Amino acid sequence: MEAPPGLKYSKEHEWVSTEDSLATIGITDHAQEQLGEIVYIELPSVGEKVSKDDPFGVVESVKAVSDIYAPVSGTVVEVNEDLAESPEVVNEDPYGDGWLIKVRVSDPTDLDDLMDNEEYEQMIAREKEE
Amino acid sequence: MWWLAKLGSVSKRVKRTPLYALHRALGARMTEFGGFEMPLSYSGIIEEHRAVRQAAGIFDLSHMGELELRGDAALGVLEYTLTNSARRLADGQAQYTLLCADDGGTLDDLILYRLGRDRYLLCVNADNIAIDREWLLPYCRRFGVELVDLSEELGLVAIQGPKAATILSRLSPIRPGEIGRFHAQSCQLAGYSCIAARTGYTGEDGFEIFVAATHSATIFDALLQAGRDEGLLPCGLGARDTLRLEAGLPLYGHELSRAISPLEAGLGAFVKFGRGFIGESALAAQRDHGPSRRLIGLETADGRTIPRQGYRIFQDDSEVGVITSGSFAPSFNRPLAMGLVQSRANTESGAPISVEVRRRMAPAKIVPLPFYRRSH
Repeated sequence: MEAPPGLKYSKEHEWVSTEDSLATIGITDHAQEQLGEIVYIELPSVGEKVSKDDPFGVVESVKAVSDIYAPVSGTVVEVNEDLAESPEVVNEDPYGDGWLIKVRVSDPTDLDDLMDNEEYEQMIAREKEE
Repeated sequence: MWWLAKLGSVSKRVKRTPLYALHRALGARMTEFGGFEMPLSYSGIIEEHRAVRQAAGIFDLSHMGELELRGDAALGVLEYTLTNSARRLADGQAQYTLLCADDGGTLDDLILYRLGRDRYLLCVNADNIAIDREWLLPYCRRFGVELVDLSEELGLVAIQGPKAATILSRLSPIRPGEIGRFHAQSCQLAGYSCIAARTGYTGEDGFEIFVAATHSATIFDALLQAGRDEGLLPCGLGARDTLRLEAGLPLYGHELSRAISPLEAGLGAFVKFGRGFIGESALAAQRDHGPSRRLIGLETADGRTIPRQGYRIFQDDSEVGVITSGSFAPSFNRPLAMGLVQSRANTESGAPISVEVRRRMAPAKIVPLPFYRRSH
């Protein structure tokens, strides 16, 4: 699945969709495909602060443990509680029901450092070549 | 920890098995293991794991090493260098055994096959091929035994699961019922000469098939086609690891290492004393005083947190050991792990322990090994 337009992407394979200062964050289809079947997700609680480029949670597949990095700084206002019971939703619908957290962005200029879908696709293509 | 290395990335110097093109055609995700670019999974680790438990799975194990000892003194060299006694093996019979250093630390664990009175085949871990060969070479030379490294020429394909025997019999005139567990037989498979051994690393019935590397892709594909309607799936190293973990089987580099003895890993049944083999006196001391560590099984209380290799184990607020292998276990739908703990720890079934997971303590308890034992 190609990265949908309209979202912003990080080098660490997170996506961000923003509405005013509210950012919804998830991992990309490429990331879930590389991880394989996701069996456990650890997320922060509502009210916690996340800092750009710092890990805010963990995704575990059968084989791998991966940190999830915050693409923006802010305060967590909502967590996808359904993932505790059904982490596989991130595999099935990474850009939809598999979203991870919603964050009130503290510095909107954080978003300027992120890629658009075409830049992200190009980055994946370069990684595959290496 | 091979799966923590960047998934899907493979450095340039790694080798490929003769089945590489077939793996890619089957859509495998590849990973680096033991110096080889190997399939991690095809359709998904959980699905492949369940296929092996319920029907059958087929594995490319061409990365494994094969060393052959030829000569009248071959048995003598093996009796001196391996922990298990090969003296009572009949032609075509196999046994699990270990190669130890003087201090009782483990150099490798392997399957030994007696091919004939003066011919033995050692199936060894990919990472340890050179170590084993260099370790054995001086003893072979001293006693006029020829040591041949067949790792490049021999391919190895495993078919594992309750349907393995049925599928194998479709391609071969042999009757799988005639090959007992830990026995091997020469046979024709899809027209090629093979050695079919009733051995495995999954906790299921099954066969490991040695074949010339040039024919291994044909054998793999033939078994795949013959087993499709029985639910057979191609399986990668990911499922191989979760299957062996459930079966409580050690993996070199995890439950065994240069710093871990067979007795600490709970493999005393494969150490035969009174033969004067290398490492025997160190192991005898461990046996007499009790090894300082022991291998345990454990599960986390929440049934979700996954203990991984290297995580520290605590009991009553003091550190007592370390996780050697841990994963989500598909047959149980929850995480399971093995660990090495100090003998002073309470290792009774059900005893409470905790595992440090990302700077937090996850409550856990001791579970007897193996986690999984087949019923059929």
